[in-house]
Amino acid sequence: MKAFALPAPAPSALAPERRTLYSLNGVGMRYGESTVLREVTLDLHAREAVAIVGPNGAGKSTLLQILAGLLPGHLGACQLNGIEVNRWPRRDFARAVGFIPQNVQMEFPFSVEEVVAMGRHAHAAGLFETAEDWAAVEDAMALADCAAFRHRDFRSLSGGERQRAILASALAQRPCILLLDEPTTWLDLRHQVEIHRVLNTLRDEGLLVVMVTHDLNLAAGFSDRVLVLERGRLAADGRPEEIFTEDLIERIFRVKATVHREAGAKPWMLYGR
Amino acid sequence: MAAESSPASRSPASIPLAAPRRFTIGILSSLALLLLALALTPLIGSVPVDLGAALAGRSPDAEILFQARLPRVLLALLAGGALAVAGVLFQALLRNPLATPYTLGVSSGASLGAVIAIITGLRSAFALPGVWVCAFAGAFLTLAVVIGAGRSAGRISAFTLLLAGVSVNAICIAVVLFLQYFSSLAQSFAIVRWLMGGVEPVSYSTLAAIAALVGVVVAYAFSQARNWNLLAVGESWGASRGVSVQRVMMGGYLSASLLTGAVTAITGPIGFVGLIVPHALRILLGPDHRVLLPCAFLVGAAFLAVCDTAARVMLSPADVPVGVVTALLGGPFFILLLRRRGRNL
Repeated sequence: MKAFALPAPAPSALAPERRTLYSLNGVGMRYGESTVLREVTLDLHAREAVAIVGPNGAGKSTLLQILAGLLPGHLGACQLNGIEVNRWPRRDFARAVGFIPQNVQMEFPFSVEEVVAMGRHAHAAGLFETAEDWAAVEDAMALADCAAFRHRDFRSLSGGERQRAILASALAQRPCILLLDEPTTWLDLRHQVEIHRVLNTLRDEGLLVVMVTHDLNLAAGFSDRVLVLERGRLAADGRPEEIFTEDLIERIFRVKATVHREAGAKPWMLYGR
Repeated sequence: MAAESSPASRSPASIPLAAPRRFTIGILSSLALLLLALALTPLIGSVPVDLGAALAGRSPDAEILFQARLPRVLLALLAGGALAVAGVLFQALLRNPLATPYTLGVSSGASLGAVIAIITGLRSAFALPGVWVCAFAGAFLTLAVVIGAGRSAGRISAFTLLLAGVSVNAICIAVVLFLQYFSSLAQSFAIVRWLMGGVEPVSYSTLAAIAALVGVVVAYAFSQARNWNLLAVGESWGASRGVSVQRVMMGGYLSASLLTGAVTAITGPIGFVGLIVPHALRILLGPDHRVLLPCAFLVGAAFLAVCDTAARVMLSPADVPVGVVTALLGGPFFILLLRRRGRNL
C-alpha cells in the first residue's frame, strides 16, 4: 500500500523541483468501432496548471477521465507515480487525485455540507467525520465559497452553486492533483475569477491542476501549459503564448480570431474579427 | 473565499455534530418503537391472553402466546426489518427512489419457485418445506439472470440492471400466470394465497436461522454505510472519492437480494414496507445511510409487526393478508408525510 501513496504537498514548501506525476505513453480510447483518443504521450508535473482545449468530440473529457482512473479499458500506459492508474487501490488514489465532474445528477436530498463531507471518504476511519475531517470541509467550503448555503438541499442549487459545491467536495479530499471538467461553465463572472485565483493558488502550493475548458481566454489566463486536442490526437502542447496563434485557432477551431499580445502578459483573443 | 484559513484555529464548538446527533436520536426513537411493538403486539389478538398465566406456563395462554403469537411477531419483525433495509440498499444502488426490494425481480423469481413447488406437490427438500426451498432458489436464479444480463465488460450498470430486472419480473409473472391457468382449483387457491403474502408462525429454530442470516447481512450493510452514501450520488462520484465501486456494488446487490430472497421465501411477497419505511425515514432523518440504514431496520421491523397484528384482528377470526394492511396503514401516512415535507423527498 505504502508504495502507492503520494505525499500531499506542503503548502509552505516552495521547492522549485517539478516532480513528474503522470506519465502517459500512447494513451488512447476506443468505444467499439470509433476511436475517440489516440497515441497521447506526455508527462504532467507537480506545480503545473494545464488547460486541455479542443473542439467538441476532440477527446478532452475522455483524456481527463483516463487521468482520473475512471475509464478502465484505455489503450497504452497512463501511470501516476510510476503505477498504472487503474491498478491503484481506489482509496489511495482518491487521497492523491480529486476529480471534479461537470455536473452531478442527484436523486436524494443530501445537503451541500453532506456532499462536501463525502470528499473525506478516502481519509475516513470511523463511522462519522472527525474534527480533522470537518476542518478540511470548512476550508474547502470557504475556498469554493459555498458555506453560505451549506444546509441547503443540493438539488435546489443553481448550476453555479452546484459547481462550487462539487469543487469543494474535491478540495476536501486534500489531493495533490486536481482534475476539473469545465468547472466554470455555469459560474457568474465573479466566481469564475475567484475559482481561477483559487486554482492558481493551489498550483503555487505545489498541486498539479488540469482543467478541460472551452474558453480559450480562460485557458490562456489560467494555465502554464496548454494541450490542444483535435479529433482524438494531441495537436499541440506548449505555453499559452506559443500555442494561441491566429493560425492555430483557425486551423483547429475553424474560427477567425485576433490574438492580442503584450510583453509579459498572457495572450487574449477576440473572435470573428 | 479565505484561502488562508487554518484548520488549527477552529474551536471544537464550531464543529457541526449533526450526523452523530441524528444517529443517536434516530436509533433511540426507532429502538423505542421496536420494543413497544415487541411488548404489545403478542398480547393483542382474537383471544385475550393473560400474561401472568402464560408466563406461569398455564394452558391455553402459554400455547397461544409462545406457540402461536410470539413466533409470528418475531418473524414479522425480522421480515419487516430485512425488507426495509433491502429497500434502502436497492434505492441507493439503483439511484432510484422508487426502487423496492422487488424491483430486480427477486420476488417474482421466488413466486415462480413457490408455484412450481405447489404444482409439483414438493412437500419438503433439505428438511425444509419445499415451497421455501424452491422460492429461495427461484429468487437467486432470478438475481443471477438479472446480474448476468446487466453486466457488460465486467461492470454492472444500474440502468441496464433496472431494465433487466423489469424484463425478468414480467417473464416470471407471465410463467406464474401460465402455470396457474393450468393448475387444479386447490393448487390455484394455494398459489393465490402464497402470492398475497403473509406471516405464519414458524418454529423457533427456523427463527434463529433467519435471525442469524438477517443479522449478519444487516451488520455488513451497516458497515458499508459510507459507501452507500457515495454510490447513491453516482458510480464515478464514488470511484473518484475512494470507493471500489464494482466490489462494493456486488456486495450491496447480494446483501439486498439475500435479505429479500430469504424473507420472501417464507412469507411470500409483502409490498410497501421496502418503499415506505426508507422514504418516511429519509424525510424525518435525512438521506445519510449511516443513520438511515439502522433506523430502517428497527422501524421496518416495528411497522410490519404492527401491520401483521392489525391483519390478525381486523376481521378476526379471519386473517387478512398483511400486504393489504401495509398498504392501507402505510399509504395514507405516507401521503400525509409527502404533503407536509414533499419538498424534501
